Amino acid sequence: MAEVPLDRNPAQVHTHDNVTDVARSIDNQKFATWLYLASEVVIFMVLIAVFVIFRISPEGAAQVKEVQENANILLVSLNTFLLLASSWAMVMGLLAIQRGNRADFQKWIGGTALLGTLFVILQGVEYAELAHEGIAIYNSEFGMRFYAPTAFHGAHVIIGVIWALIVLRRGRNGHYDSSTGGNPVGVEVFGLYWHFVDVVWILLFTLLYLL
Amino acid sequence: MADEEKNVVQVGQTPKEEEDALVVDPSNPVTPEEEAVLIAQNRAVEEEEKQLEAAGIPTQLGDALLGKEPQRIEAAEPPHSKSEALAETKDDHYNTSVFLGRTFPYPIYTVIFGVLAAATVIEILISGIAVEALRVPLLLGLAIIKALLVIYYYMHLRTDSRIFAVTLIIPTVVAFVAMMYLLFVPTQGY
Repeated sequence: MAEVPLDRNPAQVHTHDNVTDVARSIDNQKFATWLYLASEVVIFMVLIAVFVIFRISPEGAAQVKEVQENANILLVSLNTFLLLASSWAMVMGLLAIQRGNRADFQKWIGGTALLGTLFVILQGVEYAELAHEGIAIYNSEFGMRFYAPTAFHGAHVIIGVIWALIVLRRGRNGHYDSSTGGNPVGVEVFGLYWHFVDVVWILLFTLLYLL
Repeated sequence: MADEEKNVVQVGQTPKEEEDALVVDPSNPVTPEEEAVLIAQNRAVEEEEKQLEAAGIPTQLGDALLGKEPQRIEAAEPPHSKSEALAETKDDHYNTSVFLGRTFPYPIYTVIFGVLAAATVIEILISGIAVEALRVPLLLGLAIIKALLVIYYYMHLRTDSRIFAVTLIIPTVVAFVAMMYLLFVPTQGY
């Protein structure tokens, strides 16, 4: 705690307690991330609402049913498992770096990036299969309503993979190690983003492919 | 000071003699009888200290008599966030977790992943049910449960500030109400 000069009123002097400042900074960063995620909730809810409104209309219900029968549910289910596993790997990586275990942190975050990449690749394979069936973004009412939320989600996954590689590199350099003066809040912030992407896919998988 | 130094522990004394040595105020010297009483009291205290130490109870008095530095207990550095505090607590708890009243020999995140995977398998099986009135609520319910598990455990809403939950709930509720309005309020053409 800083000493108060004799000529200053202690009540008017702002003491710079480093621990309090760090804790406040962590909370501010996490709160800012949650605010960003709140905006993403609105965007995805709009896209989902557009699909749901189309889905419950009589014409839409028939088109959705036809697509769901032709879609490769096995491939999409595998994709869902990959994203769930990547979310698990992410939180285990956070736990590892909070305990100062840099080696495990790299393993888990590397796994997160790898599983995210596999998800994007398989999503591309699924798009290719749907295009082969004649379901493209512009040639049917279903197309736009399906591709908008899934492609927007896919873009988020791609950004997440790039972010994971950045986090991995910074973690390898000791940026998040508390023993070297670092702070794992950056990993936690990335984790919030990645888990949000997973939550969105959980909802999209159910609404677009299973219902 | 020179007179006082004559009464302190001397180099070369046996440990027993050191323990029996007393620092005596030269302006108020003790009689041999008083000295014997003080030595006996000293020994009684030491016996007690040894018993306490044997029981694993550290004593500062015993350390002082034996000339050791008292043990200093340093306060642990406070964790930076609640989720860090959760990670730091008890290594033995890291490998076990309690979920829905049952204890599992895995970290909680692994247990949650297992639950999510199992729920996904169940969802895929439920999607084959032909009765829409049964299929839709089951699927929606399972999806919401899965989403809440990820938000509550993986996104640490369980341990973090409630303001984060409010930040998520408000836009979700507003967007949901808007969606319900679009779904159920009929549009009027001109």
